[in-house]
This record gives sequence, structure tokens and C-alpha cells, in this order.
Amino acid sequence: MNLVSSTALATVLMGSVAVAQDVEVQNSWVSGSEAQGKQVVMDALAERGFNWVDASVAGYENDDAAFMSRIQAGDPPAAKFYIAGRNAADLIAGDLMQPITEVVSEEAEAALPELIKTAMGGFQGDDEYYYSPISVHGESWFFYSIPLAEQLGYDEMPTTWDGFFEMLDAAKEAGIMPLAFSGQSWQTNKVFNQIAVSILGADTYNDMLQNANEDIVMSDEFRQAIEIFDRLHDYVGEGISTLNWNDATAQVIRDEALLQFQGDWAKGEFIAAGEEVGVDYGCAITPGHQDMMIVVDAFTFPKVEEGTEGQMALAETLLDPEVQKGFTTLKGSFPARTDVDMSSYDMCAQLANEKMKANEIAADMAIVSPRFVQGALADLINEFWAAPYDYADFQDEFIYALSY
Amino acid sequence: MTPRSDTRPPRFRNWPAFISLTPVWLTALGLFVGTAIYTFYLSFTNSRTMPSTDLVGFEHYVRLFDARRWNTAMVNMGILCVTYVVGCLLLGFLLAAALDRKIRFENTLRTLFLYPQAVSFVVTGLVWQWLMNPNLGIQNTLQGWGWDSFRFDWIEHPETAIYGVALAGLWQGAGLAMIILLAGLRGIDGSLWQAARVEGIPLWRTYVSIIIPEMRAAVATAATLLFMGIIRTYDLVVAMTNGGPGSSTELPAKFIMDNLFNRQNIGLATAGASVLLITVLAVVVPIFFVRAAQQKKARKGH
Repeated sequence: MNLVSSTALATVLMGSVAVAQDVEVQNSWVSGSEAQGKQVVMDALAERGFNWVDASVAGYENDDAAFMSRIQAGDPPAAKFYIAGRNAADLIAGDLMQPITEVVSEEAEAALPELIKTAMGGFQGDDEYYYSPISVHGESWFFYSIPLAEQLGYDEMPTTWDGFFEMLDAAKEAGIMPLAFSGQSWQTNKVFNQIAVSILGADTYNDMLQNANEDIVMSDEFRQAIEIFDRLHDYVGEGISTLNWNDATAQVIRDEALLQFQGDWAKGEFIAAGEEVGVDYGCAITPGHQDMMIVVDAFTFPKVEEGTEGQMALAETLLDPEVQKGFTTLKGSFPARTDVDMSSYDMCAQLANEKMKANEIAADMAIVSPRFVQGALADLINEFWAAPYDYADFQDEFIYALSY
Repeated sequence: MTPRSDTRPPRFRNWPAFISLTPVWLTALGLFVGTAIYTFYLSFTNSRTMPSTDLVGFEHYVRLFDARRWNTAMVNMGILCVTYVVGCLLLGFLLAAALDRKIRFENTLRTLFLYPQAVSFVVTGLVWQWLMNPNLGIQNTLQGWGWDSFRFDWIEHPETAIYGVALAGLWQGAGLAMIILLAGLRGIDGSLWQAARVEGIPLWRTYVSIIIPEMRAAVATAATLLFMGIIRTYDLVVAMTNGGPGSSTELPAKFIMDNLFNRQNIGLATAGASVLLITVLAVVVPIFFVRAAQQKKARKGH
């Protein structure tokens, strides 16, 4: 290529960039459904005259490490994907993050549940919002094989733990593996917390985590949650300690196992395998209180010298009900706003949305607890699963980890 | 060269070399000693997501030694030192001694034994995870052939999992030990063998009393390399068990990395790193002094 044409090309390229202001977005959305959902946000942002520049790193922790090194180098991206809540709390407290309160309309505020609004404030207590939430995952689910449930004579799933264990016993007697279970640390954690929410109820559970409430940890109810968790050992298969969560889901898909405790991301596995909800597989909320544990996908905005308009535009785009609808339909989650028309969603997402409207929601540890507390609790729960020990000791250690 | 005697102290005699090496020395000091001191300092601050300067005393060390996971990790490092280092040395020596008997196909066998070394720890970890998986691996196959009581699912049980990791490491590390020890064996003067044969000393006795003592340097080299491998082992465990079941296969390096990057807990991570460094020094420094003293004695003896 000669000099003249390359200069011309460079001019054209620069020209096209200059039209839309860039917003560099650090995220860990790389899987098929995530990338598709991301495109919806990109398009909506482009309509507002801004250009999403993608900086994605596979894996939430890896992405976070990349982001932190950029923060420390003083060269932050314009936006960063985070679970809303404590994740960026240190950065907000260090005055490194940009509040986005101005773009949260009254209408949006009215449509967001209190719990999510608290998470958006990053637990700073300064009446500012720092996270712009886009979607919510429900985590208090178990997914079951409908053919196996019918074989056992269950048209509906039991709503009490006694009934639940009766069903598991029936499965065991019929020679069916009752529980598909992954023994990986984050999986044992999700299951334990799911049980804790179901036994304690959302409000008590939230109180326990947010206020490190010792009385709740020492209560009979919490002890009952440990018992139920421990009892699950009798219903799981072999070789689970290194089993991936989605390989466990596959056991339910292949009708080898009756059910699996899992967040709503499991739906993606069923759909990819060509299964239909209500026909091949069903979703049911964990017995007991039947409250919904949630985790909120959101973005935060580091303070930058220029480009704040782009950040505000992105924050506003993420809160747009249409964008939330388009994104969550593709990603398999549901909108953070409760005023989105849910009729096109599947029954699981609709049910979760109902729970959110009724404020029967509990916040996942990932929202409420600092990462080092989450880690200490995760180790504890995972160690207990691998080698159960005295429940009273577990309660003591739980308090110690919670008060970190 | 003029034979004029130089009365300056030796370190000033080579001043051009001294000057040209100074930047390297300063860099090395800054990188190794400086960062180690900074790490040590951070472990006494309340650094979480970002480094901080607020001192909190021994708070992180209290948390560290209260953590079941850290204690398991330190014990596991000890277990690996015994099983993996000693195992690799023993197996490596047996392989090297066998190859050294001037057998046929020595080159082929040597390559075969060294092959695992060409595989990354991630691959080793995954393959051994599958081999020990009760649903896919060796256990399932042998039970399928009718040996119902056969168990080979070490990594599924907290009590045995770390030995499963040691076994996988042994498979990978024995080749390296073999090649270093083989070089040591080849370096032994042939006349020693002949003398032993003339004296009618049995073969095993020749190895134990003459050959192995002569190979001290090779053994020390191999042991040091294997030992350093354990201190930094991270990938093998991540790929094979990810520290599980529970915390039963955790190692200090993994604990530190997790706290540094995933858990936004710089304070605890640097406390762990400091304890690890002190532990290693506590083992290495006495050995160093003993060896230095031995060498001094040996020089005086000549």
C-alpha cells in the first residue's frame, strides 16, 4: 500500500472513531449467551451516541485482577462489571468510583427493590448510587427431571423439607440417584446458603449476614439448616469432589439423577440440550420459606479525567427496561427492574420476579459480605461438607468468620 | 602486566567490574530484598483491596493460624516434602542405577522416563484426576473386570487426597531426579567401581557405602530443585483437586494467591507469604551453615 492511500485510510478510521465517544468496558462476559446479551447493550449505547469498547477477560476473578492492576496503575477503564454490593466497596471508600445517582430516574427508583438499591449504594451510607444494575439471577432453585418425578408419583414438588426428604428416599429406593451434586467449593456454598435462606427466611438471613448477628447463627433454625445440609450426604453419588456443576446438571438432563440445587443459570444447560421447561425438566424453589436468594449483575464506574458523559450514558442504558429485557432474555436471568413485562419469560423467571415484587428476596453473600469474609465462610462450609464435624463447633466458627 | 603488587583491598582492585555490576546488584536487592521487606510490612497493615499504611499489629497472623485451611496447607507442604521429594529421589535413583547398568535401549528408556517432565503440571493434574475418578478411572475399569473391592479414588477422600497429589507429582518429578542422578553416577570415577569389584564388595554395598556418598552434590541439586517445586506448587493442585475435598489438598502458595487476587485480602496474603518465607529460611539457613562449615573443615584438612 502506498503512503497516500494508507494516510487516507488512517484518516477514515480516525474519523469514524471521532464520531462516537468511546466507553471502555471491562467485563467477564465471554460465553455465547453472555456475548449475545452484551450486544443488546452495545447497540443501545450506540443509539445514544457512544461506542462500547470491549475489554473482556474470561473468569470473574481474572477479570477483577486485570481491573485492579489497571486501577493501581492509574489507568482505569470507564466501566467495570461487578456483582453489586461490597465488591467495589474499598474502591468507593477510597474515592476512586464515580457516583451515578443523577441518571437513576424516579421511575427506575420506584421499580427497583430495596435490597437492590442498597446494593447499588455499595453499603456506603452516603445516599449515592455507585452501581448500575442490569440483571438478576435467582439462586434458590432446584431443577428436577420430570420423567423421573412422574415415575416416583410426584406431579408437584414438595414444599416442606420433610416431604422433600421423603421424595429423596423414594428415589433412592427406586434405584435413582436422588441428588446430582458438585462438591466444588462454590457449589457446596450455594447449596448451604440456599438451605439457610429456606430455613431462616429472607429477612433473618439478610440480618445474619449484614449485621453479623450471632444470635441467629446460634439459633435452632440455623442448626437445623446445618443438619439438612449434612443429611444431603446420604443422597449424592460418587466422585463428586471434582465434578463440575454443569456435569452434575447433565445427570439430571440424562434422567440419571432426580434433581440438582442450582442457580437459574442451569437453564442454559437444559436449553442447550434441547429440553423444554415444564415438559422435560422443572424448576422449584427450595422448600421451607420459599424465599429467593438473588445475585445482581451490575456495572461500576471508576473516576476518569474525561469521558464521564459516556459513563453516565452507559449507566442510564443499563437501567433502561427494554435493554434489561433484551439482555436478560438472552442471558437467562431476569430484569433488575420489577416493571418489565414478564409475559415472554419462562415460568421460572416469572416466579422469581414475583418473589422480587413481593420483597421475598435474600441477598447472596457476594452482595453483602466483603470478599475476605465470603472467602472465610466459603472455606468453612466447604471443609464441613468434605468432613462434617460437631454442629456447635461449626456455629462458633461461622460467627468467627462472619465477624472477620 | 607489571608485577607491581597491589595493596588496595581486593574489592577495589576490580573497580570497573564493581561499577558495572552495581546496577544489577541494586536491581536484585530492590526486587528480592526490597519486595520481601515490603511484603513483610504489608502483613502488619489493614490492606484489603488496596495496600494501606494503617498498622494493625499481628491481627492477620492470628487469623492465619486460626484458619484450618492455612494449617492444613502447611502440613500438606510437609507431607509433600517427605513423600514427593524423598519419593522422587528414591525412584529417580533406582531408575538411574538401572540405566547405568549399561542395559540395552538405554536411550529409549531414558527418554520414556523423562517424558512426564515435558508435560505441564496442569495436564498431569487433569489426567491423574481422571485416573482417580471413581466413575471414569482405573477403579471403574478394574471393578468392571470383576475386581469389586478395588479402590483407587484417593482424591475423593480428605484423608488420602494429598497422597493422590503426591503420586501425580511423583510421576512427573521422578524423571528429573533420574536425569540429575544419572549425571552424578556417570561422573563417578570408574576406578572406584573396579576397586570395589576387586575387593569383592557386593553390589548393593558398593552403592550404599561408596557410590551414594560420592553423589552428594547431585542428590543435593535434585533435592533442592524438587523442594523449590513444592514451595511454588500451585498449578498441579488447581488442576487436579482445586484444593479439595474441603481444604485437604491446599498448599501455602495457593492460599496466598487466592487471598491476594480473589479475596481482596492483601494483609492475610502477605502474612501467609511472610510465614512461608520464614519457614523456608528456618529450614534452609541451618543447612547452609552446616554445609559451609563442612566445606571449611574439608579445605583445612587438605
